This record gives sequence, structure tokens and C-alpha cells, in this order.
Amino acid sequence: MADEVRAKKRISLKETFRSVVPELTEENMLYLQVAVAVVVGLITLFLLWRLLRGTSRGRGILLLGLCESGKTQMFSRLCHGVDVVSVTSVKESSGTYTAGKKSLTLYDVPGHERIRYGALEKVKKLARGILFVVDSGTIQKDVRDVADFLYTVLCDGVVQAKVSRILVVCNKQDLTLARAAPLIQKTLEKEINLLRVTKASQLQSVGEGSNNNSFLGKQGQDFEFSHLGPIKVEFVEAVAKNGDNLSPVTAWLQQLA
Amino acid sequence: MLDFFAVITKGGLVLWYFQDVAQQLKTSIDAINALIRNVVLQERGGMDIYTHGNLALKQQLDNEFDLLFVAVYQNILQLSYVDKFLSDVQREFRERYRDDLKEGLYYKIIASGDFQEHYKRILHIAEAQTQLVKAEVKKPRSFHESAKSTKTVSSMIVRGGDREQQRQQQAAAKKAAKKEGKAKRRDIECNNNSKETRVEELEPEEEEEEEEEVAETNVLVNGSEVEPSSAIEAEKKAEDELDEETMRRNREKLFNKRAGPKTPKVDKAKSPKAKGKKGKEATVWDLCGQDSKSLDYSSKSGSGNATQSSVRPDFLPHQTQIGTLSGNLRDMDIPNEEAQKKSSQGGVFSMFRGLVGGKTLTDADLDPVLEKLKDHLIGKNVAAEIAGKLCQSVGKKLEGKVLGTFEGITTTVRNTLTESLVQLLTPKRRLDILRDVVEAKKTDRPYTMAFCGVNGVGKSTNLAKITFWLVENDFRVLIAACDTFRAGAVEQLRTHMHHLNALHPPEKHNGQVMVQLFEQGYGKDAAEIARHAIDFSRKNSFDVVLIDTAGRMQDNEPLMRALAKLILVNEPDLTLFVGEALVGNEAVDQLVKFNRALANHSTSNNPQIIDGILLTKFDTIDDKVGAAISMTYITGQPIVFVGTGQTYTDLRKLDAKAVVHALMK
Repeated sequence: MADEVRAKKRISLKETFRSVVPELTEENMLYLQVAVAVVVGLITLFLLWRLLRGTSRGRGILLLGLCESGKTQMFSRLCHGVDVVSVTSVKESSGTYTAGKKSLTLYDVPGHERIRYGALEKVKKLARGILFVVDSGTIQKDVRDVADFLYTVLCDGVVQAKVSRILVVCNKQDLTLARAAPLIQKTLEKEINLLRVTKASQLQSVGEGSNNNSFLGKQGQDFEFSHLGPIKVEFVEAVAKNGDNLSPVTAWLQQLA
Repeated sequence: MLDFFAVITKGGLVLWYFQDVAQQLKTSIDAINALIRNVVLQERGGMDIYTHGNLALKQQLDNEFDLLFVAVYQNILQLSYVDKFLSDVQREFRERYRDDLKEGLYYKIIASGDFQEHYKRILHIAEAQTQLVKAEVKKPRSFHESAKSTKTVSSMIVRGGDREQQRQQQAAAKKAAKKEGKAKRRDIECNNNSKETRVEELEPEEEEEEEEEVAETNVLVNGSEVEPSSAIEAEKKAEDELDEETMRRNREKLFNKRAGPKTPKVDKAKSPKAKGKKGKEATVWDLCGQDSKSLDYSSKSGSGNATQSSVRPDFLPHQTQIGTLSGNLRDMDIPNEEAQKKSSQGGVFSMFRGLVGGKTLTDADLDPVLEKLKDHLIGKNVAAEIAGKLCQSVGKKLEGKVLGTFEGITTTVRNTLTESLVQLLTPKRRLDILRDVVEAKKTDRPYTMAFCGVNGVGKSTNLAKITFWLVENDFRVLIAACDTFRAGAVEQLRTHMHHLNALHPPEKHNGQVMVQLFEQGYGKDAAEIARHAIDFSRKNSFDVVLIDTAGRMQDNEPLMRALAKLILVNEPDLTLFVGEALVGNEAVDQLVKFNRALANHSTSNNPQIIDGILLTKFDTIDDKVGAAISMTYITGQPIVFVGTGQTYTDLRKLDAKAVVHALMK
């Protein structure tokens, strides 16, 4: 009884096809079945590929910077609206920033030299934008370290592929010795101008790793941040504590979301 | 008495803190930052206390929720309850905030912040307990508890030869001693007490020898009873009567004791003249005057003088052994391996348990894996104590961690160790020599680098390689030949100079000679030569000065002093320790002693110690790259250069990931 029902159904499908396309003969039916199978297979593979590759555009914003520049403080302000007492971070942390209807994931990457690159490796593929936090009070003393980190980040292949905008936040503007954003921009440009030459002459490393420092900017001209074609670098001033002066940062985040 | 206590997440948030009024928040935070940078990030988690200025910090990791508990107090206090206190507070905190911690709702915990009463309660309990313990330890025995109170004065006076009375006294004293010993069973206590009673008893004594003797015997009885009293079994000999044997032994001890302290005095007082006063006696040799007959020790049957083998009274042979070894010898007994296997309950399903996850790691789980990894590291030429410390630190990081699904213990431990090693080898400051040279040029002074190390590690060879690299980058280099000891050292450097100038002739560089050697022959003071070299380079606008020193063993005190003087006088921008990759456990000793010498002989508060490491002969080791780990662990300084051969181009920089990969293969 069940067999008959099943047989009926099978026949009815074929009959349906035949009624639709009367030219279909038995042979063509076979080809059609094979073609359908192949198409379904291809669609599945395609979907799988898209799924495994992940979203090409991450929704993450990375908070990078030297130790003691105020990243954790800014992270708490942006994501949770509170001020915290903070110490040196040892691990990266993540939180959500809601800009109206849309939301972004903020990643607070520890700034200590030993762990920063390891932590960066973990999160850089999820990045869409970078918030590079700079301590405006100590920039004159730390300019070489800041420039070194910024340069390494700019040269990174994954960053060049995924990140479209970088905002350099000159934090701690409430300090008396804080420098203004344009001045900091000029200082960093001069420093990177020098760095791209010295970094290119670095020794090769032990093992198979190659010298991964590409030459940024235009040859023959002094380095300027506007020369970095696809990546847009902007400079703003902010104070992370008390949250009053974070408007440039929030505006930028709104644009990016 | 704790100045500051904080609960911190690994992401850097302070979840809760308690601050004693006297302390400033900023100083405590600075201390905690220093703790994190020096302990947590340098893999020294196995160590107990960290000192920062006059503060001592103790920390405890909670690996399940990624928290750090830190207690800060004044270093001079030496509080004993801090460890237990940390665990108690950790437990309490986890209990209260378990749900929030699981979700990661740190800001909720920060907002609530009502942990203070619990903290104060636990602190109060801990402090009260220490007070109790302290009170117990320090209080001395009162007079009524001492043995003296049980004796009457008349019993202590001995009228010579009254043995019965003596025996009674000794028995009474022994009973009293047993009572005390049972009440307090501490070694130090008893020693203190025996000393006290001895002093008490000796003082009011009169000058009668017999009394002294008795007092000493009493004390001795006390002493001989009290000394083994910590071993309770000795006390419980259960013979209340002193038999002849013990009395005899006590007498022997007494006489030895009386003779003992006197003999050194007698020895000191003895002079060869005192001997001579007796008059000259004929020396009697051991065997002189005896004829061969008495020297014949062969046993002759029937001889009257044959020495019988006398059975010594204290040699009692085991009668049971006789007859057991007749015939062939038996085979060895190999211990049964099955007896050592731990019976695992649910053996089949425990394997699947590991797959599912949710398993908390304990010490017992981690120990075998860490042991194996430690042996693996030692096999790869990491110094033994460094490997031990690293494994200990990784163990502390993983204790209490909850495994996820499909995570095995071995894989997790390996990954954590790999991460720690990469972190260790990553430099903690920016390494860009060329940039620093440009900076020094701007301020019109040369960039100085000093090379130090033991004999034969490759200082001069690698100095030449670095010179080549600098010349390639268009910097003028002055080589200071401060090795004034080894024959041919100056000539070696001169040959290098000629080679390098041939490779980079002045025509290529605007007519400037790129490499020059500054030397003042042999036998002069190295520090002076270096100083003159730096002055010379300033006058003639050289960009870099490389100072080559003589190789010296780390134990050689005068040479280490000379090196420290050179560093102190000239203040080089970079002091490089040159170490070969072949060195094993020696690396630890070399670096510690070099650093110590440089720090000790310096006059300032921030002594200049080794700033970087140059690892040489890297091509001779295949993948036994452990020396890199040992050296960076000991100093905390980065490996600036790696030498991989003997030609000028064999100079590399360190790639942390590649080295760790080779190490963990």
C-alpha cells in the first residue's frame, strides 16, 4: 500500500515535468536530474565557503596605544559610561558600543610591549577601525615608542586589508603639559619619516620570518599621513575621564557604525 | 595592618579595593603596576613576595574567572597570615559574585561594591588567629610549670655516694620532664627551657663540685630526656626505672661533656714550650721494642697467647640469617609494576570526560604534564632551575582553570607554555639601534656600545659584524680596543678595520674613512682607553663607538671590578652581554654574577646593568635553543642581536615565534 503510494508520487513528479516541458524524454530527464544535483551541490559549497570565510567586514574597533595612555579608561567610558580605577591590562577585553540603532564591538588591547602584538594578532582580523590612544602629556618623551607602534600597526598586512579608518586620540588633554593635536601630528610625521628608513635597514630575523616593514608614504617626499591612500588617519583631542570631552570620538564612531 | 587590598581583572579593571587611610591610592596603584609588569608578565609567578620600595606585595591568581587578588603591606611587618587571608577572601568573593563573574558583568560588580564588611570580617578573623598563635609561641614557662618547682631544696643537695637518693631524684626529674614535654612539644621551646633551667640552676649553686655534678646530671637528665622529647616515641620508653645501662651512659656523656668544653681551652693554652718543660723523654713508637713473635697475629692452635675472637657485648648476630644463603644466589627482585598503577575508577569513561569539558584543573592533573614539559625544556638546553621556575609559573596560571570542550590537559598546558615563552622572548622595550644612533647624533655625541662576556664567546667577531652593519647604513664607527690583556686582540681588531675599510672605501662615502681603530697597546687600564676613545670620537665626529673588552670569568673579583669601573666611568648607551648559545646551566651563573658585579660597584641609585644580550654561535645548535630562554629570563632584557656564523653578514635579529616553535617541537 505504501509502495503504491510512493510509486504514484514518483510517477506524478515525472508526469508534472512532462506536462510542463513536453519535449523532455527519458534521457533528458536523466540529464536534468544530474544538473539539479550539481546546482544544489554548488549552492551548498558556495554557502559553506561564504560562511567559513566569515564576514569580510568586521564590526570591531581596536583600542591601541602605549601603556598608561588611558585605553581602559576610554573603553569603560565608551561602553559603560563609568570611570574606573585601572591597572596595567594583561589580557584583551571586549565590549559593545551602541550608536543609536547600530552597535560596534570595542576591543581593549593591552599596551605592554610584551603582550601587545600577541593580543593584536588575536583581534586584528575583526577590525574595521582603530582608535589609537596617545598620552598628550608625555608625547615629547615617548614619541619614538609611539611612532614605532603606530608604524608597525600601519605596516601590518591584515590592518591594511581590513581597516579603513584610524583615529589618533590625543588623550589626557586636561594635563597642563598636554600638546595639541596638530602638533602631535607633525611630531609623529617627522618621526615616521625617519623610521621608515631605519626599519627598512633592520637585520633579517632568525628563522624564516621576513622583514615585514614596507615603505609607507611616497618616495622622495616627507612622510605625511595623507599619503596613506586607502587608510584615513585623523587626529582629535579628548579627555577620557568624566566623559565630557569625548564628543569627537563618539562622532567618529557614529560615522563608522 | 594591610595597607591596600584589591581585586583586579586581567583586563585591567579594579573590581573592588580597600585602602587604609594612611596610604595614597596612587602609590598603591603604582606598586600593583610594578607587580604586574615584573611578575605576571615576566613569568615569575612562582615566587612568593614582591617588594616595591618599602612595600611588599602578595598575589593570588584565580584562573577560573581571570582575576588577580593583591595584598599590599609594609615590608618590615612580615605578616604571616597573608597567604591564608588571600585564599579566604578569594573564596568569599567568588561565592558572592559567582554569577556576575561567569557572565563577565564586571561593571555590575564595580557598581555594587559592598564587599567591605565581608573583607573586614575575614581580616579580623585572620588577625585574631595570628594573635593567638603568637601568644602561644612566645610565652615562657611559669615557675610552677618548671621542673624545679617539683623538687625540694633538700633533694637537690647530694651527700656523696648516696645512689639510692640519686636514682630517686633522677626518676622524679624524668617524670617532671615528661610532663612538660607532653604539654609543649616544640624543639625550640625545650631548648630554650633547658637552657633557662640550666642557667637558673647553676646560678644559685655553691662552689661544691658535687653539687655542680649533680646539677649537671639533673640538667643532663633533663637534656637527654628533653632532646629526644620531640620524638615522642623516645619518651614513651615506658621504663620508669633508670637501669644500670642508662646510668652508665649518662655518666659517660657527662664526662665527655665536662671534658669537651675544656679540651679546646686546653688546646689553646698549650704551647710547644709547655711540652718541653717535662724534660726530654724518649719517644715511644707504637711497635718498637716488640719482637716478631708478639707481632704474629696468626692463630696457632694450642698457643696460649692466641687471641680468641671475643664476642663483643654489643654485637648480637641475627641467628635467623644462618642457613639462608646456602646454595646458589637468588635472582634480583624486580618491583612489581602493577602495584604502582593507580586504579582509575570508571576507567573507560574518564577518557570521554576529558573530551566533554567542564573539568577543573588541579595540581594533581598538572604535575605530570609539567614534569614532562620541564624535562623536554631541559633537553633543549634550557637551564634546569629556569625550566623549573617556568613550569611552576605556568602551573600557577592554570590552577583552577576550567577546560572548554575538546581541550585536553596536555594541549592546554603546552599552549600556555608556548604563549609564556613567546611573551618572555618578546622585548619589553623598543629595539631600534639605528634610530637611537640618529638620536645621539642629533645631540652631538656618539652612541656607545660596550661588549662584555666570558672568554671565547665571540665578542670581537660579533663586534666586527655589527660594525659592518652600521657602516652599511652609513654610520662612521670607532672601535675602542679595550682588551689590553689577550695577545693579538689589538691586531685582530686592526685586521677587521682594514677589511671593512676595503669593503667600504672612503670614495663611496664622501671621502670619509668609515671605520677607525683607537688603541693604546697592551697593559693599560681599559676604562681610561675607553674614555679617551669617546673623547676622540666626539672631536672627529664619529657616530658610534664600539668598546671591546677582555673576556673574564664571572668569579674573578678583580676583573669584574675593573669591568664595573669601565661601565661606571663611560656610561655606555648599550651594555651588551655576549653569551654563546651553547652554554647550558652556566648562563644563569654568568649573568647573575655579571649583573651583581655591575650593580655592586656602582655608586648611583640606578646602577647601569646589562641592557641587552648578544647571542652568538647560533648556527652550531640545531634546535637546542634553550640558552635564549635562560638568558632572557634571568635578566629580563631582550636579545638584541643573534650571531649565526663567522662572516660579516651572519648577524640576525631574534624572531620569538620561530625560536619558541623550535623549542617546543
